[in-house]
Amino acid sequence: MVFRKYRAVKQWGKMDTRIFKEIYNSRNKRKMPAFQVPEAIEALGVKIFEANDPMIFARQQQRNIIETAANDYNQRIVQNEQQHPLFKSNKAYIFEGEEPMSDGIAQASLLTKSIVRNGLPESIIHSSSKIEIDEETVCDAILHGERYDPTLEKLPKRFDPVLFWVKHIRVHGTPVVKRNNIILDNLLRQVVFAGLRTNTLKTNMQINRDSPLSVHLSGGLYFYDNPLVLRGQPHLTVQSSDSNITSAWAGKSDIDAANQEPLPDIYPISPIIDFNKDNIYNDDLLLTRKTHQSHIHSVLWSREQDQKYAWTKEQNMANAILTTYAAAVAEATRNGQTELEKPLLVRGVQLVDGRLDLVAFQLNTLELTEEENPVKNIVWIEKGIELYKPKPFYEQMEQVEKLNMETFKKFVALMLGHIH
Amino acid sequence: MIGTLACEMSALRLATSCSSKILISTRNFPARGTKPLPRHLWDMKDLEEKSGGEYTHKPLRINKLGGRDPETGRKVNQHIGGGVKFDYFMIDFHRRGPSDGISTYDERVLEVRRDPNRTCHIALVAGIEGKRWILATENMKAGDIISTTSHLSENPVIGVEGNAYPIGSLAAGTLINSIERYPTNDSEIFVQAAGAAATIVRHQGDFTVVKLPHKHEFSLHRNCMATVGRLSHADIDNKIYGSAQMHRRFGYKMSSGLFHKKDGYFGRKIRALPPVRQLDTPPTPPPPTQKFTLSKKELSGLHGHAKVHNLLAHGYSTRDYPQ
Amino acid sequence: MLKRAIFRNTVIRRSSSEVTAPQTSEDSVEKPSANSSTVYRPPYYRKPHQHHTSKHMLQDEFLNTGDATGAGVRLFDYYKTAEMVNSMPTIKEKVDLVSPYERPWTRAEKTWRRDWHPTLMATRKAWGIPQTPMHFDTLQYYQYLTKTRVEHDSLDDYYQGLLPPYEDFQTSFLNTLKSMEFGDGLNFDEEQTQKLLGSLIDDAMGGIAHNVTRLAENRVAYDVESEAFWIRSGFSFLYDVEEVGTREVVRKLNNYPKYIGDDRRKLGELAFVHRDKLAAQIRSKEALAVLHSLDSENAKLSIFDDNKNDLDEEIYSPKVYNLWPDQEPLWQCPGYHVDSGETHSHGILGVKSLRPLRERIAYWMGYQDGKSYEFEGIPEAKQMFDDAARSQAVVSMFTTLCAQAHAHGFTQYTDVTRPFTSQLILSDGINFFFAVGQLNTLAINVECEGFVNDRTNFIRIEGPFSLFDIYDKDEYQTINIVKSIEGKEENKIGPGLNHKVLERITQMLMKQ
Repeated sequence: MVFRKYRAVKQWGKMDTRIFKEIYNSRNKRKMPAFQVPEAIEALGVKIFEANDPMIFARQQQRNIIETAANDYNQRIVQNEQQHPLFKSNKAYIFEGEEPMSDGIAQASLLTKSIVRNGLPESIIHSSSKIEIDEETVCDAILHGERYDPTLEKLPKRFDPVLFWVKHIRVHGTPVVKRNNIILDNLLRQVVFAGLRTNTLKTNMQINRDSPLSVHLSGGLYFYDNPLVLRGQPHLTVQSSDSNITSAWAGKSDIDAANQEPLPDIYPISPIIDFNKDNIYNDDLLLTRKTHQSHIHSVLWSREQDQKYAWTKEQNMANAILTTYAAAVAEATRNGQTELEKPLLVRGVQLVDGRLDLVAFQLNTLELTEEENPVKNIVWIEKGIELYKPKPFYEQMEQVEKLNMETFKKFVALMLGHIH
Repeated sequence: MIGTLACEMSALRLATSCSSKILISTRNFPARGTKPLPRHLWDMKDLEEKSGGEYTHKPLRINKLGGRDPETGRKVNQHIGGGVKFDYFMIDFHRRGPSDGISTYDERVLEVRRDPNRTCHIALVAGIEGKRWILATENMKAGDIISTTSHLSENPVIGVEGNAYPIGSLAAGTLINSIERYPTNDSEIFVQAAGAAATIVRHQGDFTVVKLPHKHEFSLHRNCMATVGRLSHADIDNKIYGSAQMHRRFGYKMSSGLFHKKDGYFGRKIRALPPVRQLDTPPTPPPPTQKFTLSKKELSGLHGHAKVHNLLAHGYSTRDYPQ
Repeated sequence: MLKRAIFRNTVIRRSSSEVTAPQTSEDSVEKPSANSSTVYRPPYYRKPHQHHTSKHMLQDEFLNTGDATGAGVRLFDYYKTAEMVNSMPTIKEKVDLVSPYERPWTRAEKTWRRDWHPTLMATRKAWGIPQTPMHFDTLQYYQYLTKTRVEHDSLDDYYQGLLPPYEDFQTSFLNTLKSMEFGDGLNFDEEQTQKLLGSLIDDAMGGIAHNVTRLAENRVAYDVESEAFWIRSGFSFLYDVEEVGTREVVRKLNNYPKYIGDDRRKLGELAFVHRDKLAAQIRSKEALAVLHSLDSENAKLSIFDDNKNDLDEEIYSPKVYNLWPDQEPLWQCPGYHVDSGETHSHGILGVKSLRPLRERIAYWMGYQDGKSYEFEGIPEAKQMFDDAARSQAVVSMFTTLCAQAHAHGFTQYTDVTRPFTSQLILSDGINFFFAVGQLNTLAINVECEGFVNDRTNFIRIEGPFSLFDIYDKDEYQTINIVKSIEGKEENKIGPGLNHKVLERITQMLMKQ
């Protein structure tokens, strides 16, 4: 009968539930300070488990597995990077032609320590005026890349800045870079054959396609701690065994006149902000036919403009100047020399969206700063001259529109012109 | 004076018994239901992943949340969702400069463009440290040189539009934007909308009183950085979308269309301005709630005499509760 | 039964007057033949195959020859298609009409099909001939597929009179080899081989450009696709089934699935496609000189020596030779698409890389690392390589020529009225094969009683020549035939590359 004494007063009812729930919920909402592990214990470094966790052991196991897997994966990535044959512990500023120069030509000339001359010299244009290449041939060369090439690859999505919501159908065809490369191939071949016929070129040019080019520079104002690596993969690297093709265009007096001119000031922009830093690069020269008795005549390549964020003419020209500078430095240091005996000249041609960027870079000094050495390089540029008017990449070009033979003549002059 | 006025409008009811007039209740005071909801537009976790945790000036493609809470996944903001996938530009709101009074961090404005993710225009500026996007002020154009300084000068400075100064060094009455809430690198930013500008009212000791565009005044630390000038794209209110479809393309969803009976909580209320709020330290996150599980005795719900050991009531009879 | 014959001998045939076929009584009787003017339209209920076997004589049908064999229907269909092709205004439409490509069913068509709708029949896929042969002993098979007669002989008399200089070419190509780190050529990649062959053509052109101006007018394309499709008949044996229990072989056509690539009517005409990737192709506005005219006797010689009509031992199902059905759209693309309006429509020279073949043969011989495998010393591997290279020459040549003929408006229903000629260089960097081929006929898609097409295509393959004999310490040395002081020809080891190879390449460039 002992339990009779402990009889419930009444049956548990609705109000009891309500009162209970109210008390229970408000009690749960009470914000109590969370349990903080005392600093002394944390300093010991022991593993602290959460006592209220019902799955304490299973979760530990799981967490261990996930953690170890994540750690292993991250470690493997880092190890793979470090095991790369070109891994260096010191990061370098890398120029790859992916990032545009913020201040365009001024920044490029500051980096390459060169004076910019707009337009090719008169004597060069004159020397090649006798070479006749048909307009038909040039049209044909362009149409080969734009119309007759049979590649059928899925072209990128079309972006319309005005009707931004329309989803266009994907078209198939030749990618823009391949088109432009074919055009450069054909134009170069016409120029080389014309040169061989008229005896302007003594020997045939040695052409390499898509060969990598990497140049390592250090010193100067910005590159003491982290060197600068200029690299790229131009579609055509044209070399020749004739050493006269790198003969400079500017004589001593012209060089002296250029040395007096000041380099542009691009304050407050620092010229190195557009390079990205990376550990994997070549610290020696990477150039095809490095060990042969050849001399770089020119580098030709093409670029596809981003649909949303197209580069300006200045940014394109800056890219061209830096790539040609890389080729010039490669030519100067090809056999491991660190000193430049006599000025040399290397040409560069960039084809972007139907426009040619012609660069003739005369390297007078390998130094990067003005302080010890007032000698400057000279670069002749023809910025964004229109060769033809291309159609948007999703449309088919039937006939070449607005072919500018003046541009082509300048191109021939650049490639075949020489100072007597 | 407000008291008498409000009394006349029968909005206030003062305690007449005591000598000092204490406000016990009024119509529309204190403000209730006015705390703004957080706007969940972009997935910040995805942004961290895609940008690698650091700032980048390159346009990114990040996931949109459509007004959904990232943890619970429930809709928090109405009328947001869908739309064309725009590129996201990371904006650097916190401009820091040298705090010696002599040098400034200069940057050149490279381009000013529209940003599909905000009403204001954005400007790409380049300096020694690198390129970044900032909110463009009204007369900013490509080629301008803007400077930043974190130096608190004794004499109030007349701020040049586009430059950034700590608010403590600016003269009263300057129009400013992009004001940091606290002088830290991860505080929130006041005044980001197109055409908006806050005014510096006065300086009080270590704090500056700033009047925000919605007329509320805040007292902020003098070290908080702000850019001088009105924000660009002020004429955005004059622009029209043209159609419902265009609204949808920008990521706005339509209203429900059903009839919702409005009650007294709706509509604009004419309220007195709240007093100046001081923002001294960032609020610490609330401590986590403690979870409790009640013991079996507490859960049994028995009181007093009945609150016996659970084995006594149960197991000795078939009933849980004795009759 | 597969053969791996070693040291096969082939007979060189000059003209058919030497070949005397036994005169039988059947030959004296005129074989029935039809042409577009004599063919008539059979009744609508005639089918290519007669399935009805009469149970008693009242059910006997007395059909004419054409209807009994189904040839009448087939021939009428053929000439009617030819009429339709002729009525098409543009070449692109002609090619699209004769193309056996059937597009795959879209997802919507598959989802929205109901049970009472007709079954979605399997689309016709062409048999894809791989870039280099993936099976051994493919020469005779490819010869049958393309109806090509092969001569393994020297090309000297074709290039008689062309004596180009090759010194400049040699120096520049040696430089190119060094710059690409060719070494002994064994460790070379497929991609690098393509680039090397492109540079080969560049250097060759550069060596003679100062004299030959017409080189500037040619179009040179690198890494270009050369694709063609065609239908080949004679595969009806694929429907022959040996009845269970009996030793009878019965042709099962009624209520039986059609073979992949075949026409819906189970005609035994399979579609083939070859998607070739040429390392370089030179095209010009004018065609090459023809080897022999269409009416000459040389065009009518049969493809196999002993005039075998019984081809049971040569022809198998395409699966045997490791051909796989290809679902992609079919093009006639001789380096350009037919609707692109190309002006330089005649392909003069094609250069094909045989590097994947090298790797495959290494794999067949059981070597793990396919690249650094030297099989010049192993006769079996060498024989396999030569055989496969020759069959590849046959198929590549036919592909370019067939595609060119289609680009000029001829189809398998409207046969070519003039021959098409082209040159081909096949190489893996070390071994070189040279071929000159001529397309005399495209109409190889129909085989039935009344259809007479004696013409065959022709190719003459020369090779293999090795680029160099010894590679030692960055120096290449070859055994060249040199005229000694007395005037005799003798073999002499000298530095440099094989003069024959260099000469032949330059001759091919100069040939008009």
